[in-house]
Amino acid sequence: MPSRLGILFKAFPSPPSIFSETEMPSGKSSVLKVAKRLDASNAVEFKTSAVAFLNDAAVKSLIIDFSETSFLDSAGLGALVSVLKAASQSKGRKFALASLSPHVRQIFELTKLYRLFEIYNSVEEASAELES
Amino acid sequence: MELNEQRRLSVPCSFKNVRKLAAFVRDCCQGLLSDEEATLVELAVVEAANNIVSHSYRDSEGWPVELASRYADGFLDFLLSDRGLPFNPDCVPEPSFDWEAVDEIPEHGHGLFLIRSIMDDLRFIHQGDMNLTFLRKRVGSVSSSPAIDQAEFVCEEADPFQAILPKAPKPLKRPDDSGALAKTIPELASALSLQTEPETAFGKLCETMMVHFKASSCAIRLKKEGSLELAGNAGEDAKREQKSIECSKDGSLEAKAVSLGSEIFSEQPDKDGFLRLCLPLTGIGRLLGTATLSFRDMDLLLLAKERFPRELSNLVSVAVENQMLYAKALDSERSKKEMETAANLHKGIISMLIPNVPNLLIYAKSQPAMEVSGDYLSFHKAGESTLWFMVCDAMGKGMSASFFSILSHMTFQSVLFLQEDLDPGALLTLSNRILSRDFDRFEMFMTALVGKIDTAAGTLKYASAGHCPPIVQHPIGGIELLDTQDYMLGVDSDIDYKTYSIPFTKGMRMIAYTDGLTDIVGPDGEMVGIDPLVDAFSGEFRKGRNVLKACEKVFSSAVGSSTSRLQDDITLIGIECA
Repeated sequence: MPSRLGILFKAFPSPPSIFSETEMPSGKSSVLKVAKRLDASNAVEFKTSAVAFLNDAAVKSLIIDFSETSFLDSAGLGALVSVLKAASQSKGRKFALASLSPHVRQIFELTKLYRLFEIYNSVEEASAELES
Repeated sequence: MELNEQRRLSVPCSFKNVRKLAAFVRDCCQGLLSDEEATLVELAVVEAANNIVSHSYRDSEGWPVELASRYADGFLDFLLSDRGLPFNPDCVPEPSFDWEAVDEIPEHGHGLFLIRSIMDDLRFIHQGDMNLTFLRKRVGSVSSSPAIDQAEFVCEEADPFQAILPKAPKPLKRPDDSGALAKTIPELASALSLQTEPETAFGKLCETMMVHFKASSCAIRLKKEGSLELAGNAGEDAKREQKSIECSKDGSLEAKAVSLGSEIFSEQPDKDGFLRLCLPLTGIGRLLGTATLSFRDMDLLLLAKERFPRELSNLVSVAVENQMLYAKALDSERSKKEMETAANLHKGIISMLIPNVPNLLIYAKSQPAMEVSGDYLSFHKAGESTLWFMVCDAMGKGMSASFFSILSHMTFQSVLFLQEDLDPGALLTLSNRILSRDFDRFEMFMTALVGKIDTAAGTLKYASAGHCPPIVQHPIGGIELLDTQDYMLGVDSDIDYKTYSIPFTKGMRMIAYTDGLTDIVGPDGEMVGIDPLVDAFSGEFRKGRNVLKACEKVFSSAVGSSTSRLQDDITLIGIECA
């Protein structure tokens, strides 16, 4: 008999989501992790998710985590501007971007939109700053 | 991309499909641009494509969007075409914001700015019912940019897209032979819109020019490896003139015309009494060659020269360039037919006919990434209760992989013909010894999974040559990967392949596949991998589907989820003991 590599899967997992959400240990900041690409095909979905977060009374601050994102286009940028506007209209809600790849950072620099956003090197850094 | 290579991709209009265009662009940039530059070029083309989806087609999905690319003369060019509403870039203002007024910052309008920031050239052209978006990126350290003559794009009759997508030939439209010189450029353009067999195109081009300019002869010469080569002439006069035209190389109206970049003529007749007017033919960013018209009469030459504005040279250049590309397209068509023949032979020799074996449900399907497959899938029935199956994957894909898959198929069949009562390990061992020398000469390797199911004995024996591990599902219990450890075929002629044996009884299912199935790149850019495949089968079986339905579902999902074309051949077989 050949050796077995073992029973691999007991349950069928749910399909991967485009965006995943987590909460920082402090419980004050919510983190929305963006998929590998934020572009015209998923920008509306992203914007809807992020604005829904901001409308949640329990959420004090929202951090967009770009650590896995390697591509951002102008539609994605537009969605981020929308979320920023929603955050500025919701009193007391803080909004920041974290862990931008060199390419994503370059898009912010080309368009000069980095002037609008609070951008941090990591989610932890953003969380510490927003919660201070 | 190779120098002078052209590629194209057509997709139905949707934002989702823009990702396919993005993958195409990345592929074109490979080897030419750094990762950072490639990402920016990808972004620029994505922005232009998004613009087509949003504005040209007003978010109405399904309309055609075509992207052509080429690399030539130090530039990587992209040409997007659509048939939607024309886009006027002048309507889009430069971004200028009051950074303090967040609520007034627009959410749109950055795309065009990004494209202009990234690319070296951007043009929007509306031609007939077609919109063209031309994007150019300099590759490496090209010191100067050959100017792209606007006339190539704005001339009504010289469709620049023909230069990239040659159309089917149509008969030459002969000009009015009344003897009068063409009065307008569109008239001449119409005459020069040549789409005919390449062998006669240059001659017809010369004829057209002679008729229009009342020249005694005309020759079109194309530049080849630094020299000018006679590529076409017209009529008896031109044939008689060929010698003198060849002689005139030194004296060199052509060289002067080329160096000056404009038309030039001889003020004194040559020894045969001909005066010559020479035009440089400038293609898209490069010199194609020259067109020389010969006149007996200086007045005619001057009249022709007067009527020879720069646009004429451009029109001829486009016609020549189209013709050259058309010839390439014909070559490509011939190659395609050869590939179809090879594909049919591959299918004919390696029969995928599924034998009828009592108590076994058998699924088998294969899809090549290119015209012919390097995957190999075959069955062999021995007696009433024994089924052999072979799933192999030759290194690489396309024609060479296909040859070796046929070679291995014939070897397996020959060995089984001589000795049917072998074990799978012995079949692989013998076949490897036969194949190794040829594999070694061509540095070819092949993975193979060979199985032998005996329904009377209730066993599955198998041997693997570095192939993907098969999946087995038990009627009660879980799903598992079987062990496969041995080397690929062609690595070492002295390997003794081991035969494994497991019970294969009622309700059990076995899935075998090639790595094309696990290496599929999904919409998120990640490889699917082996775990999701096992996972997918687990889910299908849990829904009560038999092996036929489960395999069909997984196979069609895999093909559907692959971005653009398949990256590798895909093969899947499933066998269930009923």
